[in-house]
Amino acid sequence: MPANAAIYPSNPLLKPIIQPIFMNQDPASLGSELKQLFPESLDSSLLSRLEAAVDGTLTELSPEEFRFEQSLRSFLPAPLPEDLKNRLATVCHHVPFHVDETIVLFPKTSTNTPTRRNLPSWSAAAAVALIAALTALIDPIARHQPDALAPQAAATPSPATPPANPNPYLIPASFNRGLTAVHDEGIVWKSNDQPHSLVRVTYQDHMTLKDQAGRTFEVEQPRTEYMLVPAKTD
Amino acid sequence: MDESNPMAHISTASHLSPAASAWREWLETHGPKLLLFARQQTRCHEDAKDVFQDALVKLVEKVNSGDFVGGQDAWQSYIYTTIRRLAIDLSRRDDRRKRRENNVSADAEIDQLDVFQSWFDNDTSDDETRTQLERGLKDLPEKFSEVIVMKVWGERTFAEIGETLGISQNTAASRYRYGLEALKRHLSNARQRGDLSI
Repeated sequence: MPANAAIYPSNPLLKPIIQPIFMNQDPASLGSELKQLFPESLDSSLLSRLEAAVDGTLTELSPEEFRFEQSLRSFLPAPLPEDLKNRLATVCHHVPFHVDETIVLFPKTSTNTPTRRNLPSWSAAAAVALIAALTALIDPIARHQPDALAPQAAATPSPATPPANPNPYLIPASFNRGLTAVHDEGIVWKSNDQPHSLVRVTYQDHMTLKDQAGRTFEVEQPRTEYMLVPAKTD
Repeated sequence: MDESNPMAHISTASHLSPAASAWREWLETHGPKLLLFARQQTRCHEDAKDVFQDALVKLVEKVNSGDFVGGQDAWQSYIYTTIRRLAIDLSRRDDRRKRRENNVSADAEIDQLDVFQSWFDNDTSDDETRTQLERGLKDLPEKFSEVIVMKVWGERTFAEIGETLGISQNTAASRYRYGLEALKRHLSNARQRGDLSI
């Protein structure tokens, strides 16, 4: 038995390469012998696939592939079993549904209220957020209508003035900015080397609109603001 | 309302909040194709249901906490990715358990139960073709069948599929082509054998 038989079992693919290597140990002639071996040429399907990848057309289906895809699509996936559908609906029951970036449908009872556990540690941040929100509301009114604030405050029950209404047939009836959550996002250091807590404050704006027939429309929209609150250091 | 069923109140659309109604509608629209993908990724129908539910719970938690990046358009991509990840985790756990218990009979039992849970809607296709299509998909290497399920029934683009699977869109397209070819061969052979009447 040859010495290399145990190392290289009888694989027909290896024979043409291995036999010359073991027959001739001279590196120079070994190199020239290896140079005479050429890689297998690409088959036509791989070649056309590579060309399509370069052209950017690999992701485009041929008419035949498209027809087969359509015929497969005529088989509809089995509908959700009723028990699973109910289980999944229960999972989502109390979660707001984002129709798009501006419209969010809310469940009847919101689960977004901050937990009691979080309140004591973040009461200061929440208070700051509330003050900021009120300031943001009152400041533009006072700036644009310095004389109108005092008399209107008595006439309107809400301290907030809703944004300008583009629809002349819907009249704002009330507007409320509700604070729903406060999250600590961590400590950041400002340029004056003072640590600040980055606080994410989530509001839920609520607006009531009335049309000429007296019907009311409720609109709710979540909003997030980030605030820097000076942090204590030892 | 059916008092014996605690879920009955959820299925009555008129009693639902706008959000709950919208979620239910979303599930009815997208649930079947997501469950189909879960079935392709898992060993049995029950695992698929569990994995799909867990993926939805993860999405809901992210949406609820405000941590989810993107709008409703991104929900499906997130669920596809999560289903795949959970199915891989489940498969690894099952493999370890099987090695410990050498539980072959349980697998046979699951296969037996799964016969009654078709992947496709009974009303939209004849039994023979549906069965052959399902068998063809199961026989395909997973890397082909997952692309086919996402592309054909999930209506995902190659770019979206690539993102879910961690491959380029060109690789996704190539796998899709190989898979379609193999599936076509499978159905053609079944037709020649007389297993298909069409």
